[in-house]
Amino acid sequence: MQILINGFLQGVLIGGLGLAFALVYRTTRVFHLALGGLYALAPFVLLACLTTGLPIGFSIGVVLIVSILLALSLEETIHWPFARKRAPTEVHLIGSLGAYLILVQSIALIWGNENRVLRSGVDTTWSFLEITLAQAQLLGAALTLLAVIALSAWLSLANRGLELRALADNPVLVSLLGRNVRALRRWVFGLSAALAATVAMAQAWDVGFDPHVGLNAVLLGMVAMIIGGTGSFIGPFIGGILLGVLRAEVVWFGSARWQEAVTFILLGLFLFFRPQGIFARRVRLEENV
Amino acid sequence: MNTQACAMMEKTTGTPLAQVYQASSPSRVRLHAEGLSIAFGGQQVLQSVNLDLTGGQIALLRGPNGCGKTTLLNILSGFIKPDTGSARLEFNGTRVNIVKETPDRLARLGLARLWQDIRLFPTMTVLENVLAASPHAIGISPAHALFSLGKVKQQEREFRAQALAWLDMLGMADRANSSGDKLSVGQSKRVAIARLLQTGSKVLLLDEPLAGLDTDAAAKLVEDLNRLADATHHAMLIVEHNHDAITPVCDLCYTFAEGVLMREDMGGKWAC
Amino acid sequence: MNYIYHLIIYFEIYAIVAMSLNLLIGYGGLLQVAHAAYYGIGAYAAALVWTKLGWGFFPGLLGGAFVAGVLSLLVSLPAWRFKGDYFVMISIAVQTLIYTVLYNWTEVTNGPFGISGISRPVISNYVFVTTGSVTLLYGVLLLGLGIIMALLKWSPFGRALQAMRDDELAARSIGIPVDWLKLQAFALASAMVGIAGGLYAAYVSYIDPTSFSLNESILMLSMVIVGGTGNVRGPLTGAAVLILLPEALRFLHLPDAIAANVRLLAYGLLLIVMMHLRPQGLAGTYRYQ
Repeated sequence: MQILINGFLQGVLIGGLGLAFALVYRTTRVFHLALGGLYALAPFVLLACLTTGLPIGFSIGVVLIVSILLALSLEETIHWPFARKRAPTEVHLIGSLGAYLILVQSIALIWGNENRVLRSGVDTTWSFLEITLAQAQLLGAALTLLAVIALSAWLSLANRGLELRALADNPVLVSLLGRNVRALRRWVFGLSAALAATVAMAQAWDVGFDPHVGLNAVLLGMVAMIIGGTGSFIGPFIGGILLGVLRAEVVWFGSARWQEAVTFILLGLFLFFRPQGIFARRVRLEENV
Repeated sequence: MNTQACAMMEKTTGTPLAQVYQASSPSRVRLHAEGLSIAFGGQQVLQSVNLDLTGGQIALLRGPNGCGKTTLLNILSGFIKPDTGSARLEFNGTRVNIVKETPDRLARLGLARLWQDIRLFPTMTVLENVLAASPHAIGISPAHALFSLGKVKQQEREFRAQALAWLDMLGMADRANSSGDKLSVGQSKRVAIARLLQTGSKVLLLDEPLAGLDTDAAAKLVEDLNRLADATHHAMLIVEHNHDAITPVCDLCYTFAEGVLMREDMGGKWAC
Repeated sequence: MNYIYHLIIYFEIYAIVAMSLNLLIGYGGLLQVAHAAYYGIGAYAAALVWTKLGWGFFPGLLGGAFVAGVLSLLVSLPAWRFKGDYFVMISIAVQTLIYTVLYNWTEVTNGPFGISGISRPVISNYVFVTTGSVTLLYGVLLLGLGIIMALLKWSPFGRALQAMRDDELAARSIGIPVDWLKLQAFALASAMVGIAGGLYAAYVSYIDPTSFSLNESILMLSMVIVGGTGNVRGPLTGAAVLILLPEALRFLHLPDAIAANVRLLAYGLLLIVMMHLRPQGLAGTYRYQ
């Protein structure tokens, strides 16, 4: 049971990142590798704020603003210009890769390559029914869950949110109807950055961070998206939870060494037997050819 | 085919390639489809479609825009699978189940298609575009490409002669070294047809071959296709809006109406 | 002088890597980031053949090439079903999977401790112990492989690859065996980079998994994008830039500790700039359509 809960908590974080990745992918078809760079940056900015004495709430705000601004600049300088030129997906991917490299190497140059922590000392734990949970884990997962719920509500209720969902389903139609696609894209990049930063801070609070955690995190988010299905926004989140639980089980029953291998075997199984993910949506034949 | 092309072809006798174009091929190829049905997103696009085409016949496929003509071509060329129904290719006593084959295997077995949006290879020249379709090239295997240089070069010479002959028939031989992305629509179309013919396939599915050609060029192309069908028993299924240009030479006419195909024999040599 | 030889040897090794990646990306249009994994497989297989079996130089190289070529099925089979972004995701997965195996299969690879004591090449009792002699030997091998690449490019195989790259659907429709072609291309490219891995192992005499990580794959991809693809000059330029960039940085008196970061940062910038201004790279001919 302990394993299950641990896996679930970790899964919430992976799911959040999966949702952030899917948010951009579904609406713009951009393979947002640079999200890994934004993910890596967030804890460093947080640490910098905290060490200069800023209160925690304010610091988190600064991190979110910085992440959103950076994501918007990526869209303005890389993805929107390429989208306008109707560049193929490879070009977007290489551009995103370049941005990832710039972000991560900048972090390493400014702050160094070593591992860091956001808090010191032993964490407080909560126990009930033979299950022990670390406060940091709980806090992080709760925060992420809140963010995901808020985002889902917004997607379902707010006008902008509905427009975003329309964009994901049918980009051509949306632009034909005169909706401002450019503004929608900005919303998407901004929101995904905020969500990713939240997950990054949660994870960093729990286990620490270094400049190179971003790529692995985005990878897990991507696998979560494939498992959960690219046909919806909530699918990747559920996929992430599933992935978290499975990874925890593997660590318990097998060995930590092979945890990564399991992730990719799962990816392989889904891609071959159910590429549309758990929550499949009927896709037009033309989209698959 | 014009006499120059025939002469070029004669130079390459002795290879399996030449036999494909020989006027005296023994049995005729046949394309047969039965009960093909497919639906997209709730809409029934094809409803129990039947089709039969023999070598030497030219069939016109017509109907309003977006009614499923291209979908039918996609199914017949193996790019999509129907929900129900069957389709097969018959030649030399062999039967090939189209629904179970990949498009490239079908093209190698003798059924190839022309695309409505042409799809030439933009980074290759006109000649390279046509050469890419050369059937059974031993040099396509890297091992042969490295260790059987002599045989590969010999085969390449034959392919080249063949390709230039087709391009010549279509009036594009002088543009052989032009880049694939620098041609007009009409020119691209003719190169695409030459490429199609280079495959050696006897069953040709043509999606709007005349679109973009002026009246004279269209008439000439139709005449060439007709002579090809007569001389070498190609079977052709032509989707075309320009009915007037095709009807003089077509033996069958298939008309689409709400997913259902109706067949009309037009008289002519092979009327059933 | 030794130092110049050292640079040339690295250039020769990376030129082979670049040529092999060019086969995939430039001629085949198959963008992927798993190449360093196969570089590693070649290095490890060759090293094991040399140190554990005691076989000669060429058998070791060929052993590395063979194992890498066979394992290329891990990427070439998925390539049948997945294109573009999805395929890149899978290649990331395969890269990480292979890295995990190299790192954790300690019984065979010695895990993080690597394999040491790899001797310099020995051919017919002549030991290539000086850097000058190694430079010459590797130069000859580079030339040989270059000739093979040129022969392939101008053959029906090369033509079919390029057709597949330009328009896979059209290529299929004229009878080009696309699936089989992908198997061949990946097998060849992986075998070739496997040879490069063996050459690397024989020169540096010690290998460990960290040289074959996703970061290395990203560097290889960047090298080829910046240098250009689709011809012979592009990959060679890419390799030259890769080797000379750190030297140029040294001229600017940058301390070695941060040189690696600055190099990657420079590549990140170059990738974005290239995609905007010169997608065919510095000396290549192929640009994404």
